[in-house]
Amino acid sequence: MRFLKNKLAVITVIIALILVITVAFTAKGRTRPTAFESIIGTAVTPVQKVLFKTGELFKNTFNTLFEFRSMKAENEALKEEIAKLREENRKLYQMALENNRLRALLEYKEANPQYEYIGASITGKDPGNWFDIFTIDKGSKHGIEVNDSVITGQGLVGRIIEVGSNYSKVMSIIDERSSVSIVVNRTRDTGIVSGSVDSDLVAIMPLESDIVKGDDIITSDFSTFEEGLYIGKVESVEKQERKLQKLVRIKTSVDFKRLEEVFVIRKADEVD
Amino acid sequence: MRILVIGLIIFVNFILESTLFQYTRVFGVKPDFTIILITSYAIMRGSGFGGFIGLASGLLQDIFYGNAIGVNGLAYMLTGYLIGQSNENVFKDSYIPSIVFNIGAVFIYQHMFFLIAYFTKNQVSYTHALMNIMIPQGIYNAILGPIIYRLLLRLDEKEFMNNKIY
Repeated sequence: MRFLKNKLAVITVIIALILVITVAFTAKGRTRPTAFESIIGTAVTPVQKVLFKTGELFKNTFNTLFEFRSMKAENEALKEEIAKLREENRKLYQMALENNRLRALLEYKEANPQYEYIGASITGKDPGNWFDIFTIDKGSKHGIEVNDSVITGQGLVGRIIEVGSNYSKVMSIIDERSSVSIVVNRTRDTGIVSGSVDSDLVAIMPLESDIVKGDDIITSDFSTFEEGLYIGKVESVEKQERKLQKLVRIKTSVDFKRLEEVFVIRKADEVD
Repeated sequence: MRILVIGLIIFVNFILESTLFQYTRVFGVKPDFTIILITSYAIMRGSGFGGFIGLASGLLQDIFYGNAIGVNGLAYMLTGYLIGQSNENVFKDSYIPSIVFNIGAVFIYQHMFFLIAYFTKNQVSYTHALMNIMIPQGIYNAILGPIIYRLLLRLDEKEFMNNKIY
């Protein structure tokens, strides 16, 4: 046998066979390290740890260097995205506010089904500091007539004074030319409310009328307005003995500085 | 001295393989530095050296990382032995044998490893192993092999490498 004379080949084959056997015996998997393994492990692990840490350090350093350029681009992209998101956020915030306003209108509408409601947006206003006269985007085409009441979900805004085919002018109740017949909800005392130059709503009441701070004021049934529309709360009462009257300041429930959507209302049976 | 130096090289290689060399991965494939070592010595000194270095490095890996003792040892040893058979027929100063035998060694080793894995019931797809491990690793090894071979050859030509033990 020539093969057996090759010592190296024989040794190799023998070792190979031994290894096959050890593979077969250990192939099932070990959970506990063998004695030899744990000796090597104890010796090698600290060295490995140091080298592995070194590797990590190199990797991180080089990564930072290479990422420098991409970081700049990333930074710009992120800034752009922030601007975009801010814009979007602003829009969404406005939509949420609009939603709240519209919901208030809707709630009022559902609570008072006796009226016909025509929704309108404000298109322009008297170039003063306050909404005294403003225009809305609905007119005779939509069934609006002069002297219709204009409200929001919070309360009375004013009345229509002029109607075009697709626009109307509204005089708000805080205009000094406007006057509204009112009634104190608690005592049914009547009076007249007019706007003033400094945009306060002032009511003149008889001296003997019973009115205190905090009373609710609504429209009376003998005015051009629909009756029972909420105007606001009494803010202060001032007795004017010589004129035999009481000067009542009223805080309107409507915020005239921030009007955007209104309803024009009229009695449903009048339309028919 | 020879045994000491080679033993040290095997040991250092084993530590570096599991730590620093992990960062040499390109597209997830790590060159097999053990194969480069085995091939280099198999070309320079023949089957005996090739087989021994393969056995030692393989067993070290098996004991420390492998599940079955001998899988790597067997595969590396036979690879070293087979490559070493060419020892008398190659021109040792050329790069070419190193390139060719590195690719060959990767294929022999990976196939052997695959066979053992197959028989120990590890489900590995052959085409997947071929396309994703064997071929890229063979190319990678063929590039790095000659460089390291040149360094090892220069070391092997040193005077002290002629002394077996001291």
